[in-house]
Amino acid sequence: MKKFITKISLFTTVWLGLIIIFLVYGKMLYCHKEYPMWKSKIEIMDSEFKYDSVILGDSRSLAGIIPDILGDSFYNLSVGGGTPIEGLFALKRLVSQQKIKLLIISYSPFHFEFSGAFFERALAFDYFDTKQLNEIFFSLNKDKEIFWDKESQKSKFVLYLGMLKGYLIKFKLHPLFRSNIKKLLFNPTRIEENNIIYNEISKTRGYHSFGTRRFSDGLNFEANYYEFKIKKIMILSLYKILDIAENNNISVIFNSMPMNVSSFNNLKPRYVNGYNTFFEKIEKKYPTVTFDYQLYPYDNSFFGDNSHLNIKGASRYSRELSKKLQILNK
Amino acid sequence: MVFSSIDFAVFLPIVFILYWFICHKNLKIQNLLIVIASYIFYGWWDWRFLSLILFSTVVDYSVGLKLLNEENTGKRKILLLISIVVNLGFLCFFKYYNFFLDNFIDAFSLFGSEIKSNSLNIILPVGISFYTFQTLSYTIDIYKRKLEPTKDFIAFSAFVSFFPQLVAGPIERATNLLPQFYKKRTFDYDKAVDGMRQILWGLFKKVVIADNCSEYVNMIFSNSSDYSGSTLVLGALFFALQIYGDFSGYSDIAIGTSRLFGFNLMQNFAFPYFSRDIAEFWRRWHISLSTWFRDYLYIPLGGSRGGTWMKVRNIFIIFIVSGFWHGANWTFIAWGALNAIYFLPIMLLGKNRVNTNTVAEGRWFPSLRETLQMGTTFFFTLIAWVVFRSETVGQAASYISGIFSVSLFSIPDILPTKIFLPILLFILVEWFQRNKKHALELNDTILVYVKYPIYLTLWTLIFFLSGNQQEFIYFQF
Repeated sequence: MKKFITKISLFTTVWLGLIIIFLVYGKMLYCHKEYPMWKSKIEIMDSEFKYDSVILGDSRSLAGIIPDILGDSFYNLSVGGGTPIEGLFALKRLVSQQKIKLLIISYSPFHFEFSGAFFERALAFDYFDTKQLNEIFFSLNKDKEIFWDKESQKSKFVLYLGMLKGYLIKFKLHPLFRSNIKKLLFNPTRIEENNIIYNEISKTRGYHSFGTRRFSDGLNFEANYYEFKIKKIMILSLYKILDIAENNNISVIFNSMPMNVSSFNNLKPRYVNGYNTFFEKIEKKYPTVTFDYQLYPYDNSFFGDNSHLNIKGASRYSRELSKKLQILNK
Repeated sequence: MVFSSIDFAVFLPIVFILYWFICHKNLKIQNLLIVIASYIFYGWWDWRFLSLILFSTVVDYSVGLKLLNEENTGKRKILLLISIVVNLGFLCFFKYYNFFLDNFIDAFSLFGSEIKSNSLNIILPVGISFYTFQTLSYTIDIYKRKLEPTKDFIAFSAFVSFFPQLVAGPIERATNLLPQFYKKRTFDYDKAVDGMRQILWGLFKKVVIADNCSEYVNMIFSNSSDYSGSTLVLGALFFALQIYGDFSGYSDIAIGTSRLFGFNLMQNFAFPYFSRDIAEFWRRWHISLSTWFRDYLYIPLGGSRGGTWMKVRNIFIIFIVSGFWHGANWTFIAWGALNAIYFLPIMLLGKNRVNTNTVAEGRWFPSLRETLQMGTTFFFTLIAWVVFRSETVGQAASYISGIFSVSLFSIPDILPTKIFLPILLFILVEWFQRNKKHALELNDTILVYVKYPIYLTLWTLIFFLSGNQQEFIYFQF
């Protein structure tokens, strides 16, 4: 009996150990194409960062702001699914080692409402270390919100389950990785695809185009929402970003990205009012920050998919942003 | 509780530890633990149906005891009848009530009479066909004086509800399983290790082969009219793999789990797709059910004795009843009848016991003749599986006619590249292990360096390559 139990336990431990080693070191092999983008940003932040102007945001700014157009000192650190939480820890990393002069922040309205990529990307891709994860759960999330879900009417039990899930993912013990690895087994060339994206995004200083279409009239997330329900953790994270910037004499511009006409026309007035009211308050609180938060459209032909600008749209937007920066500099 | 679920992965070690470390000194307590664990296992689906098992247990236990002291033939028959009526009564009500009612109404409507009656919303208790047959074998064997009735109610309850095989078999005979509850069990390392291997292979068959195949099967069978003949063949092929992987996988896990607790269950599948004729197929497929029908229906009906007409009648009865056992649908009856038609020529020519050994015994590969025989048998089985899987006999007919169309020679609309390699691995392992009790039965001579990588690979495949979790197909029977 002792021999049997020892062997079973040993087998389980060895198997689990091998799997965890693979999950930690083989992410380029099994993760989807978002991972090389996050990886490149994590690595550039942790290495000797030589850029003094950074863009913090989500996939819309990732696909819409081309650093090459803005200048040599710019780096786009936006990540797909990013929220002010990721932005806060990115800025903390940067200010500890490099003098940043300009910060462009751009988060879509719905990324103030919840963090849909918190588990599957931020945690699975090791964007946060354990200390930072503790800080998010026990310090930033003061109001015990279920910030990874749009629905906020949930019990404490769901919150603790979510936190447990977070730690399980962090320590690579969650079944979430199963589906990724299953896809890898069916797509062994994934590492090559991921390497291509990694090399490409490193060359473009963080810019990556998602949608390749020349036109998109599909609706984005916001067009389907009725009410702008913000999560307090997002406000707190944004405040902290702005506070750090202020304390380090960093100029800050908050810029919203354009929407396609179809989505813009479908925005509900109540949603837009809620969004505007939220930023009016922040604008008053941080008078030194340049806020350009109003939601506005670009023609559908500038969009590669429902939410993201295509290369034509990104070029136009980046040129406009560049002009704006020149005016602000003057 | 499903064997391939997290619930069972937690449940099994707990019961195992309690069984061998806490309750090992007292046989009665060990048996009681089995009963409690089995009731929890079953109640996980729907605790309300535990009352059915309990009632069936009490009735058969009491009937058994009464039969012990009853010498009067008439009274003995009445006692047996009580057991049969109670057990089959539950089965008929839960499984066949709506089927008979609907067909009765349809039959009357043919003559222009409209009968208004609503079908009942009846939930089929999981595994009712399995434990009903198991308990029936107990009373029938006592009636035939082949078995002494037990006076130990706990042991009998454990026999009826033994969780590894409660919901999908193997359908154990009281003569084999019940005495094992009387004997003190000691932990046997080799038996437990072999049990774990069997569980591993069963899980592989279920979650990798069957669950992945089911995705293609559901897709093809639900829109069969839209697909080419070659795709329909692929659908039938996948269903053959799905039902085998699903059911034999369950049996492997059940047998393996039982071995962990010191029990030996009968072999339920013996690599049936490597059969050279239909008779051999039925000796290798769902052995516990086939032998049940043989012993309790076919032989009492006269078996193969008597004239040709008698033989034909008995074969049709056993196959049709066997089909009907699977479910209340005409497709199952048609499936049974089709198998009877396949079996009939072999039986009438007296060639039903030609292929009793393992195919290509002592050789790595089959001869051309054996390959052709296996191919032909598999083809006929495949056609029968189409009938089995279809929603209606009409759908089965159009599916089969769709196969035999010009598009049979086109490239299939769906190419299962994703599960091709696991299927290949599965077939190869089954083929090379076909003379064993189960596909992962390994000799002691095999080196640790070979064994453990096999276990690690299989476990990794099970973990990462599992399809969308599906209930075991045979739970519905």
